[in-house]
Amino acid sequence: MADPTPPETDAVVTVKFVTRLPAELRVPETPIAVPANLTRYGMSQIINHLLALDPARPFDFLVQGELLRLSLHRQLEARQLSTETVLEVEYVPAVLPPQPKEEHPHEDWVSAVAGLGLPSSSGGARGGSKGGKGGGSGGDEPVIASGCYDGIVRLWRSGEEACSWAAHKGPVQAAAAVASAAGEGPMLLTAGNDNVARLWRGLAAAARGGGAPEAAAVLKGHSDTIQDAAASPDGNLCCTGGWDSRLLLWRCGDALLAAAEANDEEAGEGGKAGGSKKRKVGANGVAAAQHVEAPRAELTGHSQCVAGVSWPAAGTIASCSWDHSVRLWDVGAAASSDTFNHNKAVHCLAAAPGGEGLVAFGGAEKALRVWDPRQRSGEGLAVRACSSHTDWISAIAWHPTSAHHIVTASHDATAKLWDLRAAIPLHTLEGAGDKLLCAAWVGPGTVATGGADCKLRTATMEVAQ
Amino acid sequence: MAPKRKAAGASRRQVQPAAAQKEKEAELALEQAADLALSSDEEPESPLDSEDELAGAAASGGSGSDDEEGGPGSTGVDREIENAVLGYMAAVEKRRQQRQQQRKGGSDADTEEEGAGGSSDDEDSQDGGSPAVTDSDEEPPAGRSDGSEDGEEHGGSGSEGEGSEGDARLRQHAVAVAAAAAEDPDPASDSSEDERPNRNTIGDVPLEWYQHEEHIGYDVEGRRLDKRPGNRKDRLDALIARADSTRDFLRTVYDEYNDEEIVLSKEEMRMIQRIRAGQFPHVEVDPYEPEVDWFTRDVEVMPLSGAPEPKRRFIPSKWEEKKVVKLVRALRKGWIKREAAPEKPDTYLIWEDDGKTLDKTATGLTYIPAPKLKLPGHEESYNPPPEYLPTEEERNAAQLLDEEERPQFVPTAYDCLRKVPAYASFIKERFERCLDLYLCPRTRRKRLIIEDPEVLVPKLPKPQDLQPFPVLLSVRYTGHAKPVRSVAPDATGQWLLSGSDDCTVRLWEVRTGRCMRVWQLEEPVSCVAWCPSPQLALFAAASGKRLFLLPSGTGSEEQEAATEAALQAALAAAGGTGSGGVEEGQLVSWQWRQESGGGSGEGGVLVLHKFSIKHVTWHARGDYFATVAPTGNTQAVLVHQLSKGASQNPFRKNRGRVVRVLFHPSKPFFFVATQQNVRVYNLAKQALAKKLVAGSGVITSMAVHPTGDHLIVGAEDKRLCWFDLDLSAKPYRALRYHNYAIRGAAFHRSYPLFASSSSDGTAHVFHGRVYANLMTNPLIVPVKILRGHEVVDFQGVLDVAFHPTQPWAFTAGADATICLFVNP
Repeated sequence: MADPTPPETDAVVTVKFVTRLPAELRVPETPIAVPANLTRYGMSQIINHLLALDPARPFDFLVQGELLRLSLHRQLEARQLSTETVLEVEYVPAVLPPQPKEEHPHEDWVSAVAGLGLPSSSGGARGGSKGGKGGGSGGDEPVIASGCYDGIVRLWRSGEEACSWAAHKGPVQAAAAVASAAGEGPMLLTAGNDNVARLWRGLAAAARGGGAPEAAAVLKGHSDTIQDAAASPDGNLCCTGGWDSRLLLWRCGDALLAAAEANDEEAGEGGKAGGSKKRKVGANGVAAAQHVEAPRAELTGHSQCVAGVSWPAAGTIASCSWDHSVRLWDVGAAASSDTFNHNKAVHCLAAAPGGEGLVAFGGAEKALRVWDPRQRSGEGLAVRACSSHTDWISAIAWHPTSAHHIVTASHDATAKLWDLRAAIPLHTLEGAGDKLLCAAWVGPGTVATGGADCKLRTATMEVAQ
Repeated sequence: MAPKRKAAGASRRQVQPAAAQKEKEAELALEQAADLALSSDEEPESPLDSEDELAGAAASGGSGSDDEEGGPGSTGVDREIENAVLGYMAAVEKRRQQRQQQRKGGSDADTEEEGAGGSSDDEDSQDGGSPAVTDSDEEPPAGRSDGSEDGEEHGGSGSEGEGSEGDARLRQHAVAVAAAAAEDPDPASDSSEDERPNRNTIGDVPLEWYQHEEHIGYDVEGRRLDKRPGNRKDRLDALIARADSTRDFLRTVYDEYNDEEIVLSKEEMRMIQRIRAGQFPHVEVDPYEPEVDWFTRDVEVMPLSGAPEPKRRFIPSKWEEKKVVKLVRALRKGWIKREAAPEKPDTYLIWEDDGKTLDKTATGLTYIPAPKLKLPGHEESYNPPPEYLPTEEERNAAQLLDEEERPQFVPTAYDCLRKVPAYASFIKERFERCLDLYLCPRTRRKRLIIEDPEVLVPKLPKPQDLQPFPVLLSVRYTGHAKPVRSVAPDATGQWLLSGSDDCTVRLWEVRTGRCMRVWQLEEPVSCVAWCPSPQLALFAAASGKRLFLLPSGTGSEEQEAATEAALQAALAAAGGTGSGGVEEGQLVSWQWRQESGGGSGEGGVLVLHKFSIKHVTWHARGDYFATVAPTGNTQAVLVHQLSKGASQNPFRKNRGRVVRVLFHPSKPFFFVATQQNVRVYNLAKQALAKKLVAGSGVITSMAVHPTGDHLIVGAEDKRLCWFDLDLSAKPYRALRYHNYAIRGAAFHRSYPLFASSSSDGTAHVFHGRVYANLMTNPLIVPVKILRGHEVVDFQGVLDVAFHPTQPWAFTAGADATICLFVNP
């Protein structure tokens, strides 16, 4: 079995390789003695050798739920694990370095980006936004929506600009895909400095060159800039947060469309605002709003600008604010279910999809912080700091399906792919000339970022499950 | 016991070898060392024991005489000695009693003394061995003539008859007296026998050593001293001589030591008799003469004070009793503690008190000791080492010097102290010193003795404990082309306004650093200020002689509409539609901004002044605003009302050049900072409330605390003065941290922070905590120096402002950038 020789050079660790990969990538689960000074590369070679893969595939290795980043020996030493027991090592396909794909110049700073999985033929989709709330589903045709500081939203399909329209009077601060059960694919929710959020439909047709999409509704209720917006996974609700310190809940998606139609039929012309609130017609709209929607509820608790919202699961909203707090909300009760008080203003956040529980947020600091609300032993322990960026993090996008992978965009002109099982980022996307302001997953394998260099960049980031 | 001892002693004496010289010597030494009261003829028990005895004698030394013969030998010997001593003591006691009886009885009992003495002697001899010789207290060992006589002596009167007994005793006494006088003259004794010289010169040698020789010993020069055979008589001769002359014989004693016969005189006989009777040897001595009390103990008949002895002398004092009771009670209850005697230190400085003089004299003046003279060194020696002696050249050179500069003392060598002449300038020097002491007032210098300089540093909390405060440069706002004169974040903290020398006003998004809007004005912008009214999205910008009221376009639709309406109302109320200059008699001219084309609130309003405006500030409500035109003399400060479009000049006269004005955040007060001082006006009473004097420097900036009770004023003399308005008209604290003139000052709206910016390219952040308690002074701690700007044309950081909600600071630099510093 294990050879207990103390010198590091010829120390040996007995490992057992396990995996959740399909059967053809499994190695027999017999313990193998490997040199303790092996790194990821050496281990990957072993697996490739055992599997006789050609061409070789890189693998990453998980030791006690943590990615192997040092040599095996040093990692075990750092975690104070025994080298004499049989070590169970799980291997997963490594994330390959991102390959920059496209670069789309804009006329102004790109401040919001969302991935829309538009159906080439049929099927629902989920989108992402600046904050990266989900992404297009796998089989759909990836379309990117980008919003600029000049208020124009553009759709990008297969590397070309499909259409552009003036969505807002001021800068577009947020864009989010709203899932729809209808056959025409997801809708798009945009919000901007003109204090309103707008819902757009008919994106599939627009992406195919059918002109600007139809403005389905105007969400009007904020009195100051809307900073972020997120839609619920089923698309029937959305929430927005802004500089008026309010976090508002709205009807959205199919439900809003249905209500608008019903109101139209009732009133004959125009729509009636939801609830008891009176509909207000804007003085001028860059895009004519057919239906003006009032907020359904307000989640009160934040005292300053609500800078980021995320809707990871049907009943949960996560929000962050300049008042230094990160809150989790119970949508049904419209009340805050959990609060973490940071010591700095928090600018952006993303919650793990599917109610995993983790919330990653970034603020007026360089570190990415990951809050585990399930951890109750103490707030200090509940939050982990991941430092790699050299400037503020401006946007965080959680991978639509993986619970471990995050893309962050930062003012230091880089985007980084993080695996939360490791303390250091997996890969860094460079090349942007100025601050990055937004990032989103477009489908599971592509990341889109935009920033102050007026360019929308995409890069492949194949995150194997 | 005693007879046995005697027998033992006799047998031992027989055993005693003739020449155990050393032991003999030891014995003699012993005997001499012993108290003479002990029997001198006691022989050592055995030669074997003598060593021990010697050792014992040596050991006991002068400590005591009781156990002289009793060494650490056998216990039997010890017991004998003990008995002897006890017997002796008893005899002495008895003798004393007898003497007392004699005293009582008077001198007429002398005749009985003989018998009594004899009987007592007999008793003594029966009592114990050693008391038999108590009479011969002073008898030296030399009193023995030979062995036969020894035997007689101790045997008592056994061999001789009763008649001869008294003679023998007498003779013995006579010899003893003579020998004692010869050998051991008593200085107290005035006996004539004391003067008799000691003729035997053989020294301290026992005579028995020579008893069979023809000579008795040797003198100091080694000559043999022959015995005189004529003097030696055997018993037959003695009997014949006795028969021949009865009287003389009875008075003749043989001095064995000097080998001569001595015929005692009658006086001597009488003396011996008196001695034997235990009386004083001399007749003249009367021990019972009446005593004269020279120092009387009797109370005089005529006392010094005639008063009768008071009663209180004879009765115990009640007062004392009370006092004692009190003390006893206090002691019992522990109210007073008996103090332990102060322990005197083992060692102390002998000259400790020398330095201490009385601090205060009777007149209350402090005595200051005269400074000590310098002690003479080697060169003042009468014969100094040659290196101290001046050479001929030096001496000549000294002669050439001026008398003032010439050295007072020239070292000179003399071969001996005797040749040293009197010091010529002694009187002169003394006199001069006295003159110095008299004429030069001396003061005692009270120097502060500071052992630890750290104590002097005020106890301030560490900056780390005072977080948050801005530290890190996070966002840099670039876009201006020339130095940025003024920055102003809006009330929410989303936007930042900046005015620059490049004639533009820019609106920035704080978080991203994006320039959202640019207003191009005609002249360099010196100041920008947001209208604090929450209903309006409006700001004021001072550019040359023009003051612009511009809608920011950052608010909601309602705010923008309200802003437009307010501007239109203002202009309508002002009635100004003109586009030219300021009319005669008017302070200002309210106009539409030209660019807007007139009639629209979107373009903003222009308030044209006569003089160049340097500063603009808003009242907290957002209706009034005040402008400062330093060159405007009597129209330097103008207060405008937005809602009425009116302008007024509240101060007809300004003492000094007005630099800054500020509205009190909550009360109707108005701060006017001229270059020299700050005046606080009460707007309600229209009177000067207070005048704050900052210092000598020209005031450049001013900021008021959100509570309105504190003011910071920056000046060109690098000082930032904190005024506590309730405390004093003088600065509570002057903070001098900058290297060059201060250009800007700001308070944070909610955090206890304030900052100053300076031409040295830095901004300093201070923690300034103000307590609601009026008794506690504000806590001011410098916490951070913010460096982010370059110094361009001797201008560094021109303005500083705090973010309204976060602990962040904006600094406007002469390098055309604005920096945002955030907390770490």
